Amino acid sequence: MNFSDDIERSIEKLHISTKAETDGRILEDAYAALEGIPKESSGQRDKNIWQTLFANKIVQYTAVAALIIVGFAMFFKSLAPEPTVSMRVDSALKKAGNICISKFHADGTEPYEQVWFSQTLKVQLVRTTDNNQVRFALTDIPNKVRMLNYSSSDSVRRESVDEKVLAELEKSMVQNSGLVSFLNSSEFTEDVHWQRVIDPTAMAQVPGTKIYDITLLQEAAPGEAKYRKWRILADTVTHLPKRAEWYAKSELGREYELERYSVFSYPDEKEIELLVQNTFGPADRRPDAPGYIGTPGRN
Amino acid sequence: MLEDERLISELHSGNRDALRQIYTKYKDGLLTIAASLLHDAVAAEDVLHDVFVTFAGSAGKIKLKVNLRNYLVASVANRVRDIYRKKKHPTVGLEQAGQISCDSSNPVQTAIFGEQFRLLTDALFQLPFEQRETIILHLKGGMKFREIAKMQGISTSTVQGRYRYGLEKLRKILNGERKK
Repeated sequence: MNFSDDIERSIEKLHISTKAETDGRILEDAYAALEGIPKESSGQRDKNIWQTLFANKIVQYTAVAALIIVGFAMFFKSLAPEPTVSMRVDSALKKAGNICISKFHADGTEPYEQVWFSQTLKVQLVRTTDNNQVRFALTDIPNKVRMLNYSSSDSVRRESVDEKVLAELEKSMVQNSGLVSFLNSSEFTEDVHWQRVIDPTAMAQVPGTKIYDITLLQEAAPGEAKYRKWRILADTVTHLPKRAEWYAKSELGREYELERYSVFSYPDEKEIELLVQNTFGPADRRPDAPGYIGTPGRN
Repeated sequence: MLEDERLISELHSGNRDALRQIYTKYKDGLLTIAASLLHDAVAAEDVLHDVFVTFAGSAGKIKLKVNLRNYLVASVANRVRDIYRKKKHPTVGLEQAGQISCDSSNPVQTAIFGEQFRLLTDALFQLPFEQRETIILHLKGGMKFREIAKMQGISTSTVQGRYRYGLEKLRKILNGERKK
C-alpha cells in the first residue's frame, strides 16, 4: 500500500505505547499530586440544594446549632494525633517479623555491616567486615547465649547473657537496628517533620516506594554548621522501609552529598535460621555456655 | 463520554483508581500526539508526565467545558507550544519512543510499519508547526476544526486552510521520498 496516497488514514493509525516504567513513574507522581489537593466537599457539589434549604428560617437555626455541635466534635477529633510517617513505618517494622539491614558507605558496593533480626526466632545476627576479617555475632535469646565467630578462626566464643539484658534486647530488637532512632531522632524539634518528596530518579531506582526527607541544621563543632538530610524510601503499600540514606553538606548553597545508606529486606524465618545454623551450628548445640539453664520447650 | 463524567466525578473526591483509568485510557493517544508534534520521544514523555501530574493536582478544581479527551489533548498541545516558545528542547529521534505498534504480529509488517512511521513523522516535522499541530490535533486528537480554531484563537477557515496546505505539503514530501 502506498501510504502517501492515504496520508490521513496513515496519521490516524500512528500509535506509540508508553513503557511500563514510564506508566509507573507518571502514575506515582500523579497520585502524589492528587493526594496533595483538597478534596471537594459535598457542600460545594450540592450548593444549589443548600441555597434552597437556607431560605427557610427554621432550617437556618437548626443548621447553626448543628454546625456548633459538629465544630466541637471536629475540635476534639483533631486532638487525636494523625499517624505520622514515623508512626506508620514504626508500626510496619514491628509487624515485619524478620528484617535484614545491609549498611553501605556512600561509594561502597559491599555492605560494611549486615544485621538480621528475627522477632519470631528471637535472634539477632550481626556480620561485620574489618580489615578483610569477617566477624559474626549472634545473640540467641531463647538459648540465653551470645556467640562470636571470626572468619580467621574456626573456634566459636560463647558467653552467657544476663536475663535482664536479654529482656531489654528482646524489647528493643527493632530499635537496635538504628532505624527507629533514625525515624524519631531527639534532634527533631516540633517543627521538623518528614516531608514527602517527588524524585523520579530515586523512584525509578527503588520502584514502588514513597520518599520522605527530613532536613536539619546541626552544629558539627562550635561555630561550624552542618546541614543534614535524611531520606527514607518506604513501600507504598506496606510502609516498610526499603532504603534509608544519610546526606550532609557544609554550606547552604552546595548540593547534599551522600554519606552512607542502608538497604532493607524482609527474609523468611527459615533463611535466617539457615544462616545462623551455617555459622554457629544447630540451635540444640548452642546452649552450652556457662549459666545455661535450658532451651524453653525442648527439655 | 458518560464514563468520563463518572471518572471525573470520582476524581473530585480523590479516587486514585479513577485517575488510573483516565491515564490508561488516554496515555498512548496523548503520547503519540506529543511525539508527533515534538519529534522527540523523551520530551514527549515529559509532556505526558507534566500534563497528568498537573491534571491530578488540579482535579478538585476542574470544571470541564469540553469533553475530557479534548481537555487533555489541548493540555498536551499547550505544553508543546510552551516548549517551542522556550526553544529549549533538543530533538531526539523517535526511535527511542516506547513502542511503535501496528496491529500485526507479523515481523515483516511490523518492520514496514516502523519504516512508514519514521517517514511519516519525519515528513510531519518538516511542516510549519501550525500546520503540523492542526493536522495532528484533527486526525490524532479527534478535534473538530472549530474546536481547534477556538483553542488557537483563530477562525475556522484559517484552520481548514492550514490543514489543507499541510496535507498537500506532506504528500509532496512523501512522494519525493518515494522517488528517491
